[in-house]
Amino acid sequence: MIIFRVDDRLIHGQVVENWLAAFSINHIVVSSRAVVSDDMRKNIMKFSVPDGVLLDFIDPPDLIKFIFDNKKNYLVLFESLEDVFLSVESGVRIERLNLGGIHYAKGRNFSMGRVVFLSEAERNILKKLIDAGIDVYMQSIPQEASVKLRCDI
Amino acid sequence: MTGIIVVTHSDFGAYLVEASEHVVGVKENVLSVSINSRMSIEDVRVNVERATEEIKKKCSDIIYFVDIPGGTPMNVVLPFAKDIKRSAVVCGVNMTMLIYALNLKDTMDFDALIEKILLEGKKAICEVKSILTGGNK
Repeated sequence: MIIFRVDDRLIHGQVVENWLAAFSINHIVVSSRAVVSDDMRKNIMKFSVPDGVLLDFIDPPDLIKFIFDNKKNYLVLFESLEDVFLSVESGVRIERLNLGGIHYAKGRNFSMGRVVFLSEAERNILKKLIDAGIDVYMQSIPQEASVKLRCDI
Repeated sequence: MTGIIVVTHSDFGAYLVEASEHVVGVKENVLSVSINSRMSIEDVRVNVERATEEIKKKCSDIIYFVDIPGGTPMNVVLPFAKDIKRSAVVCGVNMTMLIYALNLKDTMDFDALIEKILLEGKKAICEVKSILTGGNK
C-alpha cells in the first residue's frame, strides 16, 4: 500500500503519532525538492522517525525510479503540489492524493478547508492533477472524515 | 543569564508557563509560542524568531522547551538553537521540569541546569497509587 500525501510540515506530530500507526507504515519517502539538499532538515526528520520505520529522501523527478515493494506500506510525503506535479510529470502514477496540510501563507487566497489554502498557481496545478484522474481528498488525520475535491474547484 | 522559550501545539505552553508561575512566581525572560493549524511554517518561524530575539536582548543562553519529539515545534526550533552556542532544546516539557527551570535558571551553570531539568522532569513521570499500599513509586 502507498499513501501519497501533501504536507508542508512533512514529518511532524500528526504523521509520527498518527498516520504511521493507523496504516502500519514501515517506510516513509520524503519527496521534496527543497529537502534533498538540506542536511539539517534531513537530520531532524531522521531523528523523528520511530525505530523500525525506514526513511528515504528523493527528489520528486527521481521518484519514478524508486522501487516500491508491494508487501510493504509506504507513506510518500510531498512538501508542495509543485513536488507532486514534478513526480507525476516524470511518470509516477498516483491514484489517490491526500492533502494533509498546505497552510495559509500570503498569496494563498483560495481556502479549501481548515488546513488547505492555495495560490492561483497551486489551484491550477491541482486542477491538472484532478483532470489527470487523481482522486484528491483533504484529510489531516486519519480520524477525520476525508473530503473529496472536485474538478470545478 | 538564561532565558526560556516554550513552544507547543496550541496554547499548551502558554498555560504551562502560567501554571508553573502560579507555583513559583512570575520570572523574567520567559516566553511562550503557540502553534495552531492555521499557521504556515513561515508564521511559526517568524514567531519563534521574534521570541528568540526578545530573549537574546538580555540572555546569552536559551532553553527551548517543546512538547513532542518530532513535532512542528521541535522542527522549527532546532535551526534557531543551532546558531546559539549555549542553548538546548528539551522535548516532552512538563510542569515539574519547567518549575525547576524557572527556579534555577539564574543561578545554576547552564550544563548542570539542563541535566537537572531532565532528571527532575523524568522523575516526575510516575505511577503513585502504589504508595498507598507501601509499594515503591
